[in-house]
Amino acid sequence: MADCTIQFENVSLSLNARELLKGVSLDIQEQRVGVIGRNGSGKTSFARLLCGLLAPSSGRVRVNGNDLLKHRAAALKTVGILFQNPDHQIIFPTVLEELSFGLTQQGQRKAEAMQNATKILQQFDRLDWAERTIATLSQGQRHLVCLLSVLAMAPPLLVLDEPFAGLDLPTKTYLQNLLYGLDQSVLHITHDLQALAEYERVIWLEKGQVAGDGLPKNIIPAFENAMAQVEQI
Amino acid sequence: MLALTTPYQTIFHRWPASLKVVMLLTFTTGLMLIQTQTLLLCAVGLPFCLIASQGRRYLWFSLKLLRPLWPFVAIILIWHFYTADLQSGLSIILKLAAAFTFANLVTTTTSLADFSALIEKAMAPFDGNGAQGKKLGLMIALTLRFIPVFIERASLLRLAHRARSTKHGTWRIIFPLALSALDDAEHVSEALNARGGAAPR
Amino acid sequence: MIGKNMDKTVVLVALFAAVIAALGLIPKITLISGVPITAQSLGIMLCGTILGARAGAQAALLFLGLTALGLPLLAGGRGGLAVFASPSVGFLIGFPIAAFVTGWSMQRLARLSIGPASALAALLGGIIALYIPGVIGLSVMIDKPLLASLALVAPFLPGDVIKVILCAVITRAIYSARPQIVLAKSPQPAPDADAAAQAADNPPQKDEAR
Repeated sequence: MADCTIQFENVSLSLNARELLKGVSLDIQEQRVGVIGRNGSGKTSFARLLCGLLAPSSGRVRVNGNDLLKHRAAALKTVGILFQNPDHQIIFPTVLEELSFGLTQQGQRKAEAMQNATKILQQFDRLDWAERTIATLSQGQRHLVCLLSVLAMAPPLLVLDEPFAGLDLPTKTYLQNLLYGLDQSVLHITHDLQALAEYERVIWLEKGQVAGDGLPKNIIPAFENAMAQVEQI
Repeated sequence: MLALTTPYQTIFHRWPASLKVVMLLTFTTGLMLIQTQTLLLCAVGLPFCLIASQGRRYLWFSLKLLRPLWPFVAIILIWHFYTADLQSGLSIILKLAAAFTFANLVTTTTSLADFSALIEKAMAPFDGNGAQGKKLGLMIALTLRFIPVFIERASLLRLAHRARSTKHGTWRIIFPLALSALDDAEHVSEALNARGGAAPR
Repeated sequence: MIGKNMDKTVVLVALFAAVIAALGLIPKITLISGVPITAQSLGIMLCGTILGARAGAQAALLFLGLTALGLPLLAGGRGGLAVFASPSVGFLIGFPIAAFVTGWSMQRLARLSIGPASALAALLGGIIALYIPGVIGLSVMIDKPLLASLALVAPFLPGDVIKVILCAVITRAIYSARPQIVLAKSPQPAPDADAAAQAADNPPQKDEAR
């Protein structure tokens, strides 16, 4: 299994006069980590800081010792992120082009990239998807394309930002089982508490701070209790 | 995503894109310079002969592609009928039809991939580290990727409007469509950035 | 960060080219005079008012380029090199010019509020800057004098004036919904009440890659 260490050292983030994260410090080495919290609790900012897509207002973020914000080449080799909406992340009109893109970004030549992209399609038994246009794929299939494009780049860390919201049960189950069998370390941000039951660690973010951190069997019930008592949205 | 290609195979499909484009440019420029009637008739006949050589079905297909020219043909005919100068009117129409047809010939026998390769080669001498080519390639891909997305979104918006109104607001969907494009741009550029961005490697 | 700005511009240009293409499929509205009006030139005006001169023109050029390559993106499903051999070729060439002039005018008119600014910009770009190459092109292609060609396209003007008004309405709505664009586009915030309030919250960012 791929090893991955994540370090947040007193990280704060403010954007547009809003404090999104306040002094978050975390040391993560587990293979399967879940992140839960209400909308607006800072989960999404957390994910983006992790991937080096945002600069912290203060503090340091390190993945495997690297500052991914400054070292984008290292970022491409270290972390892959999956967002919620495939239409927000698929850039190319055909599947093979989409999969090859990340590889050319990592420095592979076009022919080599296409070969490796084809290999990963084969690995997941989807060789017939190579020439298909994204427009002809269903939502669940597009989610899979997003996952494959990220996996093709073979990052040791996979960050999932609520990627399965809105999918029907069989599709969600299929994709989640796929994830479960992966070698990568996975950091999964989700509202679906059941999905995190087998995870090694769950972090609960509330109003930009860590409100809970530990085993799923402890954190999840505490979170559920707290949510049940929320009177206003 | 449909391209204007023909389902009928012709020898022109095998000709290199660069050759076809050069032929088209030469033809249309030449057409503009011709003054004599006989020369004009020969020149105008050229694209139609080329097409006819590939079979009746391809010829019929190509002639149907001339449809968008009808309004202009009508205007010219009416005008020249009034000025009693039908001959020059006809030569204008023939020139238009010939250029139009030759251009269609090139378009329907050249794939998008071939055109893209041609553009890449043409840009190469001006594009030192490949940065411009990369940006252009990304933009073309993104546009092709999002045209079906916006078409579908536009029809969903129309449906949503119809569900709440008896009026015809076809044009009311433009604002939400443009707004959604702006929002999508935020997310897509983030996803692009997450995979290394558009900058040269 | 210049890298991010370039990504953003690349994406905006591409997406708006796609919007123009999608607008080609909106059914034409026929005016009382029997003249059909299509939404695509409205899309061109919006490229200018929303994306600005350079990016707006790039979006229009990208749209034209893809049409030239054979995609049936023009209203009515037309496309391919043939459209450039058609009498309306001047209007096509005018698309990126119109977008550029619209965007350029928007910047010059930054002191006006968004509504009148976009209306004026759309008028200068979407009508004047579009019709000049359009009429010249038509005149050359059908071999008729300029004034006659102008008379031929005159029936389309009322429809285009409606589009100018629509452009102003839509642009104003977009800027209210997403005030950040105002700050990204104009050198100084417009004295619009909304924009001023926003400017107090977010100091304008330096946009070097424009």
